[in-house]
Amino acid sequence: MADSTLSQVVGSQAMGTGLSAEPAPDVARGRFVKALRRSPKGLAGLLLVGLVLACAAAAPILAPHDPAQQVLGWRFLPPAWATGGSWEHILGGDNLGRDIFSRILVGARTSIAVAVVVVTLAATIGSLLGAVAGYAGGIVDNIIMRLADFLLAFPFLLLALMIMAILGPGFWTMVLALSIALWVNYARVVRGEALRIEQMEFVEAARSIGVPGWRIVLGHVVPNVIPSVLVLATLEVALVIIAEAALSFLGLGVQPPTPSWGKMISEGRDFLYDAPWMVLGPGLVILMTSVGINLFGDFLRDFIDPRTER
Amino acid sequence: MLSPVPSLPDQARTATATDLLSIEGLEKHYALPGRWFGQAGVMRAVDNVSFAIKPQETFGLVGESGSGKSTIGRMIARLIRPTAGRIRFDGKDWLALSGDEFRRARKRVQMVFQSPYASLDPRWRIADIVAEPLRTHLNLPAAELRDRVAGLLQAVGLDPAVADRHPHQFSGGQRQRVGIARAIALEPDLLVADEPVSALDVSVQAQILALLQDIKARRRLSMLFISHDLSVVAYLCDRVGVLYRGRLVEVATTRDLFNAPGHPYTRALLAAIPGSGQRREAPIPAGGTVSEGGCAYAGRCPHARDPCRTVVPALRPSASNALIACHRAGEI
Amino acid sequence: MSAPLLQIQDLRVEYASPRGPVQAVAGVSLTLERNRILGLVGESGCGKSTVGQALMGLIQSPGRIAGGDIRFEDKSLIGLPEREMRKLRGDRLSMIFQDPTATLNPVLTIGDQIAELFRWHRPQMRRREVQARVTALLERVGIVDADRRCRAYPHELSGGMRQRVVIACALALEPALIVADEPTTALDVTVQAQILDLLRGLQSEHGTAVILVSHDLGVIAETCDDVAVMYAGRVVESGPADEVLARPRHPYTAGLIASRPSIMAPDQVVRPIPGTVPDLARPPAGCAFHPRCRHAVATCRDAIPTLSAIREEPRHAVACPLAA
Repeated sequence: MADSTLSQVVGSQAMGTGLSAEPAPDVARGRFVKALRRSPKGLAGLLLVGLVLACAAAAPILAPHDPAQQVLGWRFLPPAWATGGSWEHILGGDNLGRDIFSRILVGARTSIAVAVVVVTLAATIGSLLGAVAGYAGGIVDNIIMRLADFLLAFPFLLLALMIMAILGPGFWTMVLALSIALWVNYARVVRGEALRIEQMEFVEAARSIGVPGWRIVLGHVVPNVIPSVLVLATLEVALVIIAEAALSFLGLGVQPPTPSWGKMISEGRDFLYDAPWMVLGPGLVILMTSVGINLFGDFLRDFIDPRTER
Repeated sequence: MLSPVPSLPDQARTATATDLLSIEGLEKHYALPGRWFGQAGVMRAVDNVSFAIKPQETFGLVGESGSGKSTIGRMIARLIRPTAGRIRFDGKDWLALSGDEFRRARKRVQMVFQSPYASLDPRWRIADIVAEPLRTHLNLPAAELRDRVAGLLQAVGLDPAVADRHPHQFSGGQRQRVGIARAIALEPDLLVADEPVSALDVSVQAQILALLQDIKARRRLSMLFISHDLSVVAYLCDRVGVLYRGRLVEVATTRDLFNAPGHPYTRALLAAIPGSGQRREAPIPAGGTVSEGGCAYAGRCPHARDPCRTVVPALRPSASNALIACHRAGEI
Repeated sequence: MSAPLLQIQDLRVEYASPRGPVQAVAGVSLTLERNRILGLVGESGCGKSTVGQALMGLIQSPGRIAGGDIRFEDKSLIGLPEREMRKLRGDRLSMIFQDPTATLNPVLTIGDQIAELFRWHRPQMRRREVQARVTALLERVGIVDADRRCRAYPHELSGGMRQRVVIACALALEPALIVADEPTTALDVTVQAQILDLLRGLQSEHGTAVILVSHDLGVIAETCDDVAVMYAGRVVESGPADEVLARPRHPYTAGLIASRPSIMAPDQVVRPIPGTVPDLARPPAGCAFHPRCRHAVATCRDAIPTLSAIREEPRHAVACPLAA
């Protein structure tokens, strides 16, 4: 048994980066499933996220109506459970007479796409720049962090607006603008963490062994920074969904009639007293998504931390 | 006799009678930040320290916190760059080595760290931690690497079956064993051990001390043993250097140092050991001001006279063959 | 004055953990008279600090006192309302912690921190009087130039000085009992010697009883009148410090002494105790030390030995069937 486990661990030496702390993929999958079964938190998170993703993927099939179709009779139609509502329009209709449920399903595609792409992009760019700043120090650190300070001086949305004013409206320019506005947070967190980890004795030990700098960053610094990045990323998903709404509301992001959750909320805001269901539906799914991602993110953070192993 | 030919096998090289490591006038200064801008002055963390370690010798560095003992160890391991001074390792200018030459030489000086918790990456498996130096320096086939790791774990008294576990599943003593396995993986000639037992429980300390002694004898290596604990130093070391505020105040064989301490600070240190049986006649003076020009200990020393406060005493051989940095070494 | 100052009877402290309850203290009985220093010695996780915390009413969730009694000045401390306990703490009972830096409030001058104690516990005292007492206290713990130093902030003092301030705080209201939990572990040897001198001096001057919690047998030998050796939540040996440390009867005490290199005999080989401290969530059956004990016999696995006096010296008690 000793031999087989050792060969497993040592076998992945081919990578040669010292990153082989993870076992072979099939073992990891088995461990993942086992850990997930034991964690109600992770399971619930995965379920919620999975549900949202499935709905987004199958939206054209699931949607009972065309999300862009405007029918006068559907205007301000209350949801099914309220008086005057009908099961044909579970969540009711909006101010232009469109079916809210269908719009949520189709809108999921935009909202999720923006959130995932922006958070991934911002986290990758930010973490990389942060790690470089923390490790290199000196002038490089100064340039990156002063740029970060400069960007941080502007409110997040204003910054995104300014960038979009330069780049022009559209889905991809919005993704770019939000990513540029958000990477700063990751850079700051990662740099701080990297500086802390740099001081740890195990990094000193690696240096005293003669491990090259890039291998220390990849093998010791990055794996120990990932949990913080993960937490930040899960928190920012909801933020991005809302930010997308604000930008789209101003006509800079997704162009009508393409629906998105955020846009639906901003449209419903004007009718909050008369038709609260216009914000209720999209509000609930945003809540559901961010809770799901947070739960799953928490589970993932625990999962990749060997200290939580029993 | 110096045999600096790098292609010679390890065993042949250390078989000389000369010093394995020698340090001359080592200094490390840190800038003290000023109240507003600029610097207020320099803090001499290590101040003109010289000593040498012979092959297979264990040299102890004792001192209290802030005495510069860890800084010296880290300068020898080249984790910190000295401000001034020379380090010669096996006849070569250790600080001038660079590139591939340094990479090869670095294998021969390895370090054991103080904290059994912070010195092992919590996300790595034991096998990978011990294999890290092997992977960095040797291109071994997987099977041989596995055997080497198993052998190293066995050598430090761990069951090779634990190789796939993570550090958090071990006690402090077991983790320290992993740290030692990592340090001896490349078969170094010099082991720099920085307070390797001070974070451990008493009964576990003894286990690690016994292990270090066993490794030292079996692998015929030299050791620089850094500690604040005189009893541990007395147990493990052949010679001892006593540091006070960055300066060496006494260097002597362990026997001489503990039987006939020469420097007033060494005496105070010995008398302070609880349970040493040496009842303290007078309470040890507290604090004291740092004298600018003179002996760093003058402010606390009951024997201090005029020259002590103005002239830095040099390490001079005493009657008993110890080196003592005290103006009044012969009289007191 | 017939009842002892402090009497702990069969104290049990339990911590809830994901793997079930952990018995940090599993039935400890101790008696402390006025004017004595009792050493609690053992390795990490043996429960020595927990006893001190229980005494101060500082056990917090997930920990709880699961049984036993603590009588201090003839009053039970178990189940005492937090209000009452708070009045007692700092006044009749006080504690010195390991890390003076963490104990002191960094934004208050040391004078104000000591004065705060008087304001809280002695509200009727006048400002002037408090100031005089603070200065006197700082002088008593060996801080020269106390008038000026009491305006210093903790970070302006050295570690040893800070610990002196902590001791001054502990002494401020002249408590009957001080619990000192590893008071010198964070300090240098020479400073440690000064602090131990100070503690001993105060005890002999004022008749304060002290419980000194330490892992260091040397510290215990030099400072304490009595000693109780703890292992895995129980006292395995107790008695006068000189007697216990010179003639240890329990294999664990003997092992602890033998595993410490002695400055007096550096040539002597240290003999480590094999193995490691047991997992308290799953303690071994019988005597908790038996898996590491060279002398263990069948009975050691079956029954938990009780602490009983040895024949030659009635004050010296051992919890080992082979030693009595």
